[in-house]
Amino acid sequence: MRVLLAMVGKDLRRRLRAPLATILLLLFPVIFSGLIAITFGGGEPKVPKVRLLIEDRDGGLVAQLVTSAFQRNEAAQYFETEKVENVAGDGAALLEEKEAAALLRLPAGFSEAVLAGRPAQIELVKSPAQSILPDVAEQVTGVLAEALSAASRLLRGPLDEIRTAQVTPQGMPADAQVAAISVLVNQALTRSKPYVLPPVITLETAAQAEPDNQEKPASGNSTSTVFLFMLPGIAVYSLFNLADQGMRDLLVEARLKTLRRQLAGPLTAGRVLAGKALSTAVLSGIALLLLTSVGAAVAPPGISLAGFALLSIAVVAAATGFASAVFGLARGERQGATLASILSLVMAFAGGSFIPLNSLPAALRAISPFSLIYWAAQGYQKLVLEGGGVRDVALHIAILAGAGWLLLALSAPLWQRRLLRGELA
Amino acid sequence: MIRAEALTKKFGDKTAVDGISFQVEGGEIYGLLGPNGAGKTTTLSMLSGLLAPDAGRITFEGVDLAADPIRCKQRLGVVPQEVALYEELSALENVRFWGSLYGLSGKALRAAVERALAQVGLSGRARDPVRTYSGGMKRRLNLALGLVHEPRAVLLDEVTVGIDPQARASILDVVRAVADAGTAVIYTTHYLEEAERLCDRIAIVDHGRILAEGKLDALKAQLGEEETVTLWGRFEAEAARAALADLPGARVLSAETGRVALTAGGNGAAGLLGRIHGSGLAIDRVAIEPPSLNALFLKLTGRELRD
Repeated sequence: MRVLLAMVGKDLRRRLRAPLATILLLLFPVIFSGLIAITFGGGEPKVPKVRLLIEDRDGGLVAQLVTSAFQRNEAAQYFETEKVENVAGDGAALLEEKEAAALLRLPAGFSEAVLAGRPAQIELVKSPAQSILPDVAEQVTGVLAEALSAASRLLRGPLDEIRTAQVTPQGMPADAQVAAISVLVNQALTRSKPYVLPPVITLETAAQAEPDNQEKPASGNSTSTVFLFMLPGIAVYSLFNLADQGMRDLLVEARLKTLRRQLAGPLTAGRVLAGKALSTAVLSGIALLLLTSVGAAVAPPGISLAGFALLSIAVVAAATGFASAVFGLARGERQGATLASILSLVMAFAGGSFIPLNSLPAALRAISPFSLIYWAAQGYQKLVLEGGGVRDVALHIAILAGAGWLLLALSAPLWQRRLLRGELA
Repeated sequence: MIRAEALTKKFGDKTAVDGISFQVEGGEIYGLLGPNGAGKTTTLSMLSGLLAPDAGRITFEGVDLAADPIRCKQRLGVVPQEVALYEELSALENVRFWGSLYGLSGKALRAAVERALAQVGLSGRARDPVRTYSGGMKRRLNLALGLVHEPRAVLLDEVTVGIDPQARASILDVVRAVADAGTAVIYTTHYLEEAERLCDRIAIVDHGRILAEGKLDALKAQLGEEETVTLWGRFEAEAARAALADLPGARVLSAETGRVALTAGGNGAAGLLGRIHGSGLAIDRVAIEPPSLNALFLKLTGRELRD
């Protein structure tokens, strides 16, 4: 055991003296996950507002409704309106001057025409200087026109009443007329109930079917949630790369001739291999601890420590076994590095390290369960994001540890044969 | 101490070592002298347990290497031809690691590390990273790693390749001191001067075979008092052979275009040169060499050691 520890100590010291590659591998998941989180996890959407000019040449009730529709709370998040008057020509000059996306022109007699059920037209002038925002204004105005048209047809009766209502000296309709209009509106809505209301009811039902949000662990703001969502997969990918470096070191030592020297000493080939595998596992374990400490800074409290520790041991075993198998099979250092890079990358993609699993193509999703990184990342997500315990990740632990030991067991004879044949010495 | 019996090793069709046998005792420096590719390193690889011989047997103090390799290797120190060091680590860390591999620990390890570093004169730079060392210092450290566990026998493979004369002299002094302390040393080299200066016994190796073996004086005696004459000029090999064939007492050792070597015979080189002048060969340059290992090698193989 003392000899194995000496080998581990020597390898760790060598890493410490030339730490750049290891540091980069450790920084990669933190930086990558951080960038993803900052990009997609911000609290408020940073959508630019559509600056809309409204020229109300009508001044009537419906025109005011249209104008106020763009100023209501929800619409105000996306629209910034400004009333303008007496716009000359097609308004292009004003659009340029005000740097607006579009000019909505409500013509004189617009309200009267809508209330009377006659064809009415509104005009939207889009700024040629902008690309997307004028289209947004066009789409929303189109929806508004459709809604007005539908309301005009649906509420034909009440609208006629409103249009012909007798106004009191105070400028308001008489109570009797208001009551009559209300009855007509109610009747119209009742008739349209089978067509209008079911979707609303369906929506509410769907909302009630959602799991109780209070049972989910508090996971901070959306940036840290995205960070925690991305970190496990990318961290495990980096860990596999680090393990590759660890086992690759056996071939590096063969190149440096220090492996030959070790084998000329009182060590069996198996002991030399065990020493390198142990070094790889210890290095991966330390890396995992460092990455965990970063994740812990934003992780919710109450994560199962036992589950995390067991899963981590299994991940280290899997990464070590994978690296041992790849470099045991490879003919040389370069071939091994290439093979390991390709396989790790495929496992990372299939495992959802870079793209969430539900966004992957079906073909890639089908091979996900064959990826060790998939089981590792899913296990960590269950523990960290879903508040799972040891039982929830038992399958993940079993698969990772089993695969790790199996790969180590299968690759050990390959290494032994090469070492004993003198291929590496 | 070390006994090699009829060692044979083949790589495909090529026989690298062909039935080599020798025995080395404690306190003795046994030189394997031969050109590159003669089979010296393959022989050492078998002695250090890195290669299994196809035939033959190796024993260390009566213990069969094949039967108990760990026990044998524990008593053996190996210094490879290549500088096999961890350049990121210091000399101290390198020596300590290799000492640990041989089972040393605690005070014994510390003492062994200090002694090994002092032995090669690196105590003052022990904590510096090896990558900052000169070539000669790396060679000395390379030697220290093979000596840290105070082995009973040491295998040194071309340990002075590519270093300056001063560093070479320092290494040879260390090797001599190690042998004087009772350690059996097997030393491979293709430098004649090193073998002549250092080795108690020398085996001249070529094409995987020992061509001659013995103490330096005994080997030189095989040449008698004959001087070796080498001629360079404008001639073909066969023309030179024909022209020199009838010279009394002389014998052509090797001939090639532009160069021929021959023994001077009982008449000595001075008498021979007059007759060579009359042979009609266009000679540009002449070298006369007293009896030496190179002359012996030339006599035994028909080519020079440095070829």
